[in-house]
Amino acid sequence: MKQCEKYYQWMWLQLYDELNQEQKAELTAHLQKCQDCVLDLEEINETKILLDKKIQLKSTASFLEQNRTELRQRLLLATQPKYSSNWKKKMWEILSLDFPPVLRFSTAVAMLLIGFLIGSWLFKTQTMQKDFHDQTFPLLSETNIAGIESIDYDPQSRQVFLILNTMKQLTVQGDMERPEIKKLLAQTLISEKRPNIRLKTVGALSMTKSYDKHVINALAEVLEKDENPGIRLKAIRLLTDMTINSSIKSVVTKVLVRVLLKEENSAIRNEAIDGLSKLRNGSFDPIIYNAAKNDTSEYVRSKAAIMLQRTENPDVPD
Amino acid sequence: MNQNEELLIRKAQRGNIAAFEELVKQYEDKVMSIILNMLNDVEDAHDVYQDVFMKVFLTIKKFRFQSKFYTWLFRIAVNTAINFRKKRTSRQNKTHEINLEDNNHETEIVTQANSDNPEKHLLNRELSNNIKRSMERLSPKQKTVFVLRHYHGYKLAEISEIMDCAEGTVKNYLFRSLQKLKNELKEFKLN
Repeated sequence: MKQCEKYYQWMWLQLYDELNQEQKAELTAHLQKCQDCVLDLEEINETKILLDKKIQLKSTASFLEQNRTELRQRLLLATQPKYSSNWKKKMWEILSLDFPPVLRFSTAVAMLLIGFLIGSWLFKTQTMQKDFHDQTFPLLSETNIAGIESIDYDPQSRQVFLILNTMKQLTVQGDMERPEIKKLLAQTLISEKRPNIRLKTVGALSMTKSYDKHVINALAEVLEKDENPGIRLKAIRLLTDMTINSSIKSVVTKVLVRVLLKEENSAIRNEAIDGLSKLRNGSFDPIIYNAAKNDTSEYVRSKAAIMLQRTENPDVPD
Repeated sequence: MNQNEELLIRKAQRGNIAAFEELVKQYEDKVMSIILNMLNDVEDAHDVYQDVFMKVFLTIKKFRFQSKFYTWLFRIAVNTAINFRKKRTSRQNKTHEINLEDNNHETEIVTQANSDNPEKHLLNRELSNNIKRSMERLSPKQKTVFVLRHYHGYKLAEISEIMDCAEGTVKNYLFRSLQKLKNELKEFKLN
């Protein structure tokens, strides 16, 4: 039966003359001994006759001519130069991203990369490390600093860490002795509104071994104007503890005298007397005398009196 | 491929419209006949004819003379017709009913049977409609092979070249299509 299936297919192919001589002979031999296949062949022949009777659609010459005329017009249109619309087409292709998928994907990746690079450049926090601060610190003078976001310092390494509010957030790290750092801290001391930051700034300044005019002026302004007594106290302690050289001695003396005369807080006035006693300058004795006599605080008065005694007799013990 | 044809093709490849039109004249009858038999619709055949020859004109530069020109041309025709039929089927979403009377304004109908006898002619017309309905139920490739082999007389080897597939596959398409048609027309045979 399986063999007959093969011959059944061959019978169809024979109708279309698609069998070779050997296949034809084999089929003929099979048909001589298989009555079923002979009946199949009859059916196949009948089907072919039926199929041959199908009415064929045939195009007329006029129909073809009409088609050809239309085709000619389309061909002429297709071959006309399109200089005027070419650039518009190209622009439209670009704007509508009418690229092949691979190019479209590449464009998307490139745009993402460009966006990422621009974003990271605009919003990254710059850290000025010790290795490169020599190149970046000069830039601080050209940078418009709106204020300080936070401040921290390490007394052991004497490093100060600042986060500055500029056009973008800027992190600065540097040695306390750098003039740029001192200047930044001095500015912070004067302009910063948050007391904790001012307090921390005074703490950071206490690490320095030498004071420049920016720092002295800032401390003087704090002592005169800062409304927070804790900060004023810390500032005057810093001022009295520092090693005063001759170049700033007169400035510091003036600051301490002003504090003694104007400061409301007795503890701060007391610190001022300590500072003045260290300077050992006789020119302000009348002021000390006045304090010893008229200061509202008994403790300040007694301390001023001791100082006066010591000025008159340096052998008086502390 | 004769020398004249090769010359026309080379000219057409350079954009010579007159040479291309000569090629069109040589093959349009066969192309149109195949399209008509595959689509059974004059309007559709007109659209496909335009698409086929525009495609050929736009891609003729890619023809490398490695095959016969007519197989390359017929391949484009057959594929365009198949794609058109697929789109049409999905658009209409229903079985396309063929009505020969609708098509006779542009084409002359030629019967292979003797049409002197009106009764016989009517019978042939009914049979013809039945065969067309049955052909519509074939798959696009089965129908293409059947049309090319049965009504256009191309050998299976040529059809395999036109359809760009193995001869065994073409043979299988032909056998399956004939089997289906035989079953579809069984009732008609008994009558």
